[in-house]
Amino acid sequence: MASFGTSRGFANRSIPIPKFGVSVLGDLREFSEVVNAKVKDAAYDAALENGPLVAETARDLCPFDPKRKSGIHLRDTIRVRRSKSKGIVTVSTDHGKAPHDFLVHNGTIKQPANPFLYKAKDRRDEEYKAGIREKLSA
Amino acid sequence: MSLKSELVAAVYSLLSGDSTLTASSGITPPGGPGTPGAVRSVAVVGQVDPGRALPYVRIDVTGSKPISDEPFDFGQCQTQEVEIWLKVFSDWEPEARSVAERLEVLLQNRQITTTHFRGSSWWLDTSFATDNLTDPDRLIRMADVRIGFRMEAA
Repeated sequence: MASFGTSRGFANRSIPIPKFGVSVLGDLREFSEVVNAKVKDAAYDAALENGPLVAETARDLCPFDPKRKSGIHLRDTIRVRRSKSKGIVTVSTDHGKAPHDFLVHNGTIKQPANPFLYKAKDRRDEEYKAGIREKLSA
Repeated sequence: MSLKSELVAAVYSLLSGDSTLTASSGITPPGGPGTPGAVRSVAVVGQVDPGRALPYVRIDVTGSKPISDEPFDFGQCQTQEVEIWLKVFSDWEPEARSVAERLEVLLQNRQITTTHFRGSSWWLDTSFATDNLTDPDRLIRMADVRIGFRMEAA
């Protein structure tokens, strides 16, 4: 009698499971600390170069009254401060010399906001990122 | 209409339509009812009398920039990132904070659809300050809520 089909088909085949494994030796935390420190240093070095550029752009964007000859202009108080321990570069106005800085920047009930510091940072953002990439690839 | 005008109209509509923000029974500042802030309204900068009744929320468009490549056909770039500051003015500090928090909730990852554009919003930051320092009898508390919008032609 003829038989059709077979019991030794695909279903009975055992599919070999590839044997592989990954073993990680060493302390990953230490590895991440090294990487973090390298990225942090690169970001700080790039910020050191980028800070004066942001300040320069902020001075261009800051409102300025050329008719006013006496006193200190707000744009002249824009400065760059750096903290190596914190890894921070700050571009800000000198509130002591120009106490009206936040009123110009954030606006008041009588005048609209003119966030020249935020705008300056945004405009220089791409250069900052490129600077970090450059420092990391060096 | 331009992108920014449509966006301001959409934000105005969203805020003024929120009953929690605008109704007197909405946000109850710490201190309970009967405290300042029974009436809240929304306004657009340049179209508001600075001496109007407090508190109110003012919409300032502070800037925009293209987020797509420069079009080679020299057409208008239709994809923009627009930054809007929502300024809260109140004569009572807890209320300025409460309203600012409500604005953050309203415009955090909110889908915005206008007649010709669509996009979304995200909350950037909030800061607080005091205005009208020359008149100590009428100090105005400000809360500045920065919102970013990414908009493109629909």
